[in-house]
Amino acid sequence: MRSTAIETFLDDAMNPVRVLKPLPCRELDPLPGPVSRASLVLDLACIFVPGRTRALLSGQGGEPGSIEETVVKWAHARVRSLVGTLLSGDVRVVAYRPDAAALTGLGPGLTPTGDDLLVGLAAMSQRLVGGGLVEARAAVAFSTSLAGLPSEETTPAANRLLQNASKGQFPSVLASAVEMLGNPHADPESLRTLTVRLAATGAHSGADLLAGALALVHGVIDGEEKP
Amino acid sequence: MSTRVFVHPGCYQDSARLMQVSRELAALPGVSESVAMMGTQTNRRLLADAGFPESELAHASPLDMIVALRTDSPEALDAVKAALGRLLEGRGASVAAGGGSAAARRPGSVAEALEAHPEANLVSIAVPGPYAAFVAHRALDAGRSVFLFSDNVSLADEVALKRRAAGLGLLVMGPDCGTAILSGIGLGFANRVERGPVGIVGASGTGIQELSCLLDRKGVGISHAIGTGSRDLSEAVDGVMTEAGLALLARDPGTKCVLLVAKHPAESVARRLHGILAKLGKPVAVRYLGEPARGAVDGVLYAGSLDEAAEAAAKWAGARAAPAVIETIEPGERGGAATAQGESRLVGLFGGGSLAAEARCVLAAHGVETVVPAGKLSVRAPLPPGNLVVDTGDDAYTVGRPHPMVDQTVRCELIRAAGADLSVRVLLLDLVLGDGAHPDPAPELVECVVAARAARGGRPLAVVVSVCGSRRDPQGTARQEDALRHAGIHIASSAALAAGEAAALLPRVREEVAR
Repeated sequence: MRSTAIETFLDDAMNPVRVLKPLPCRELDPLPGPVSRASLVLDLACIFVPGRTRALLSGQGGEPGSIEETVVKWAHARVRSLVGTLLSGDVRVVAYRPDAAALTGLGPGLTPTGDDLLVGLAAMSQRLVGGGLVEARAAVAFSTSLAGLPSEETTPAANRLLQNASKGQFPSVLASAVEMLGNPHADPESLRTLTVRLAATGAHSGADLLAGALALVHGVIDGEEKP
Repeated sequence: MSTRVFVHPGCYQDSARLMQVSRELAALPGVSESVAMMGTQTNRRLLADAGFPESELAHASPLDMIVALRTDSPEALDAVKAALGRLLEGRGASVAAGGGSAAARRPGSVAEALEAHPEANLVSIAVPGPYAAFVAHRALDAGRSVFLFSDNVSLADEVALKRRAAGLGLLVMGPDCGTAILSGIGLGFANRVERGPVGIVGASGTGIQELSCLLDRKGVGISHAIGTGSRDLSEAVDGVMTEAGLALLARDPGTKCVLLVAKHPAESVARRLHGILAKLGKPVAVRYLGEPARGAVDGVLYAGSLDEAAEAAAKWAGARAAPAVIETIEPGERGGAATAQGESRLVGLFGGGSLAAEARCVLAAHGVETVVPAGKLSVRAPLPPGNLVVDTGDDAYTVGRPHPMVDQTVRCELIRAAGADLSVRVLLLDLVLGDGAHPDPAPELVECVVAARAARGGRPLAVVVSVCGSRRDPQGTARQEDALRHAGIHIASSAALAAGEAAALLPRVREEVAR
């Protein structure tokens, strides 16, 4: 643009610019509606759960002996441990830190799988506080543990996501799905649409966020607690 | 079995790209496993535990891409290395796919993009905010101007980028720059308009779109429309890129006259820019959205609406006057104006923030005071009282969704909610067309307007829509307008005209006019 006439070169100029923006975040609705174990059970029957989410929830996925299999196993074990700690009502930040630190930066993606799982879990823990299914101080302790994770151990995009989550700000596509989960007044079709939209986010970030959220739902339904 | 790790420093890729690299390499002969992931400590540990050489992993950082491979033989590794090079250049993994067209190649960095297109003098950047300033600086390093679509860039980064660019004689359009048209090429959300003698500098994306479409309706083209990002006229940024854009247009032989559009400039910046505008050497009109007309000051026309600014530019460009599109609403027709019985009010739901500001200003001029709701409107709660004008493109409404110019879900829900409120008699909307916008928005608007009307038990609901579209826009402006017209929706060619028409539909205003 040094010349007097502005001339540009773009090889495919009339195509719209490819939009690649970070996920916008927001706080959860403070009153998203009631939630109960029974309604969570019903919701699990109607939401969309992609294969990757199922793999992370079960700890089984990827070719035997592959890196993918290891990621899924590691992530599953750590998330399960975090769910147990949350449901035991542990209010010590330090109780969450080892598992959270093991997850941050783990796996593929610009926001690695482990970070997405942590954010999904944090969002759902806040949601379930409203229904009395998760101890409020435990959810706060878990969120606080995210703020203390070393920023140099994951990508800048994931670090931003974690810092937002620690302040109660979540990707809106996740927040919308989480708010509707377990709400007996929610329309099943809308819930399914929201989970489809969440799962379609990124290459697998959405599926990983959903896995984090659903891990806690499964924990609540199964009555999991750390021994 | 052979294992190998390739570390690509500073090569951050979005998840879809990482997955694509993994899959395409895994499909090559002799490759038993391929993983592409960012070089976080956890991933490095994971790969080391899986038997990949620690020495090769040790220097990777979370900003570096690691490609870890297992192959049947060392020879297969050489083939994979070559394929990886092609993939990172944006070509296919296979040799056969390696000769893809230039358009199909997707560069992974500014350096790669400029290597492929050394003649390019502008870099369009739409990466996640945390990386945007870094990438923009690399473009400036290479002596290229920047169109920065990314948002979530800090004010400090913006100031640093723009000051550096100004020192280099380059442009940084943005961050959060929605629209630019350079030499007839639209960037971001832009309408397909002819080239012509009017240059635009704008800190407002929909402001630029509205001006370029209003001129298009008058048969007047655009030389260049330079977006600056909405914070450019803040005190901190001090209008650095607005000044640079104005200087370029002043020197550009293809530009006969200049328009400047912005929202709420800082007073000190507006004062400084006035001095520059007064000495520009070309006719210039300014529209500061939300502010009343001030007429000509030192030869600079401060217009009271985008229409007035466009009208002036068309005159300077020598265009013959063309009538504005406005369809007068007859009383008693479907959805028409109500009688003065009971409360009646107006709700404006806009996709374009600048168009909302313009509508508020015009409504005020017609004696209709509007309220900007303190919080986000909710379909679950009653609408707040008063005449409302809402920018549904505001961050509060777009979280988790694309902009309403692309995805109208939220706005459609609010239209239905407004329709269910019997005190609402007039709905004021905009419809922004062009590249980047929703491919066929009118039918969706029609559907929710019909639903809103159906819920009113026969009580009328007048709907006025301003259409911001050019004759060549891909959605077909005429077709979009026809769809609205058939639903009894009234059309205006600008937000200002639509607001004026909507104001006249309010019974109280009608009575005053009659008196």
